[in-house]
Amino acid sequence: MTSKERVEAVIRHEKPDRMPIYGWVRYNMKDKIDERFGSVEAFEDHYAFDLAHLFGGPDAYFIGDEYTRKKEAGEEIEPPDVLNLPLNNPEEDKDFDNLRAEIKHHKEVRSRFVYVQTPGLFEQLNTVFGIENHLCYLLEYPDEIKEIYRRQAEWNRKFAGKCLDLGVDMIHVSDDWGSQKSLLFSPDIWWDMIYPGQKLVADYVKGRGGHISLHSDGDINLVVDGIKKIGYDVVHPWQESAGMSYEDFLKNHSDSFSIMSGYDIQTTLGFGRLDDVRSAAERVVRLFGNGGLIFCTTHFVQDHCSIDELVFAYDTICELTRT
Amino acid sequence: MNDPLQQLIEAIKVGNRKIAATATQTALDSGSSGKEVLGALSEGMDDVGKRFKANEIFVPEVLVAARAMKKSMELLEPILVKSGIKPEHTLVIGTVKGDLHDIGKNLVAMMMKGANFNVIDLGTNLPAQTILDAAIEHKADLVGLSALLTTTMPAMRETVALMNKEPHPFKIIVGGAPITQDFADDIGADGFAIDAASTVELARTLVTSS
Ligand code: B12
Repeated sequence: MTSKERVEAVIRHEKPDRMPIYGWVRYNMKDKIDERFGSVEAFEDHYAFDLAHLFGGPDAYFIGDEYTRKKEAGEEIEPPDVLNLPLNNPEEDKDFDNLRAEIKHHKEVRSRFVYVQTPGLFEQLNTVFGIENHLCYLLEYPDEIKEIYRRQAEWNRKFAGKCLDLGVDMIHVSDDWGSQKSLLFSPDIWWDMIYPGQKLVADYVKGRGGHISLHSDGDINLVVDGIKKIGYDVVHPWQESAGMSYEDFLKNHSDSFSIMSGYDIQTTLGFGRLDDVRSAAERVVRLFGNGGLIFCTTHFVQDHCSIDELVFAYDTICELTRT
Repeated sequence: MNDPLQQLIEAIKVGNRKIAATATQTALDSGSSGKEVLGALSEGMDDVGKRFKANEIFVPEVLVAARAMKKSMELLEPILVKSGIKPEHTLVIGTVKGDLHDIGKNLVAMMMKGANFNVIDLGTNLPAQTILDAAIEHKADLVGLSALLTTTMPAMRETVALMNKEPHPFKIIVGGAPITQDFADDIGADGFAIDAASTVELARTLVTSS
């Protein structure tokens, strides 16, 4: 199987020839990896990473003068202000130049499965409002927020369409809804405000034969039914340290979607406890031997991880899945 | 429901800033004392904290409740100052060096204000020395440290170590997503709480025991 075929087998709930492997290693570990391997790309090649995680394209909002003035004066940006902000063109060809080159490289040269990350409705507007104000506005300005999300979902749909035109395999919607103990907002708010727009984008992507995935940190148990209803193919991470158990996933959800998870960076990878790293890898391989999982870290590997531990972690998972 | 104090409690529970402000004003105008209004605020916030702890409500509901409390406090504060009513205890709180997460810390600060503590919120990304200096300057009874990242847990440890180098009159409490009771014990903190409502309970116990 090529990397792309392997990941697609997992998404179709079939058993792949081996577990697909990936990791969010670049963000904090770049310098250490560069020193040992020459570059992050060389690290990814060394471990034959099956996926490429790409970022890029236009920003959604055109930040105008009035917005800048308010921000600089420390005034709150409220939902009615945002309704007056124009959105950028999500399909502007020149904004996709970098992505185009990267997609070509990873698909043609490495036969990888390519996914592009894009902010979901909640995360996109956190940047504009600030997360704490945004959380309040969900209750204080429900009608305006719904309209802002409706516009945003339409924008996201067009952005996703452009990515699919360029050959991207999966649209990865990044939209942190969870905290360590529960959701950040109520399931009622989620169904009323978040669900409709995410469903619109998912239906569109799947209608065009693409795949769609979700990134949400934390405990999202209360909306797993909605995640199924939206039709996400993959969910990243499945943060066991925040109450998301693999056993529960396998028992109750693995027929509906696959997960991208493996080394928990809050509890397991990066603490110098190599036995724990190995046990985590062994457990995951045992539980997901028949598919259901794309191996990954639960978030960016944190900078308290040494390069030796990172190498040990990836040597281990490769040894367990490839020999 | 004509009793303005009862209206205030309800306004806090549902996070209605406008009603909280008018009910506060009406209560004060119709002869309620500052202490009684403060009591109503605490009762409202206490209920909010309990429902949050039980996962019946979520972060937005707590935030709007706290904003309603703030509106009421703006009207109440001059009255309290005039009548010499001051919170008995002071909490100095902040997120440790390297960490920008503040939602949890803010919720803790809000609930503690609701429980009638004087709260000095220093913000995020704080060097250990800054927190220690503020604790001394404000004569803190409690110092609260928040960390959401495993990368900043060492900064929490260093901050506690710096404070514990010399004898001090305050108790140190810690919390945040990756923090556990074991870690709190290990670094020499006096208490750990899993959420904002539990922090209030912990704080009350610690200040009465000292
Ligand atoms: C929202 C969020 C963000 C927001 C923060 C916005 C803000 N203004 O705070 C943003 C997007 C900015 C962010 C950034 C990052 N984040 Co972040 N973030 C989260 C998320 C999704 C939720 C945190 C949250 O707000 N929870 C809601 C509040 C109410 O809960 P809480 O904070 O736990 O607080 C409660 C209790 O802990 C307690 N408590 C809290 N403080 C205190 C203090 C005291 C004294 C007491 C007694 C109690 C107490 O009471 C609170 C209320 O009940 C978590 C996921 C998770 N599992 O928690 C990741 C998470 C914490 N983030 C993570 C990471 C990696 C990051 C980044 C490093 C990523 C990056 N490079 O971009 C950056 C770090 C930036 C920095 N230097 O700080 C990881 C940390 C992993 C690790 N190894 O530690 C997590 C766990 C996600 C994951 N999948 O692993 N993040």
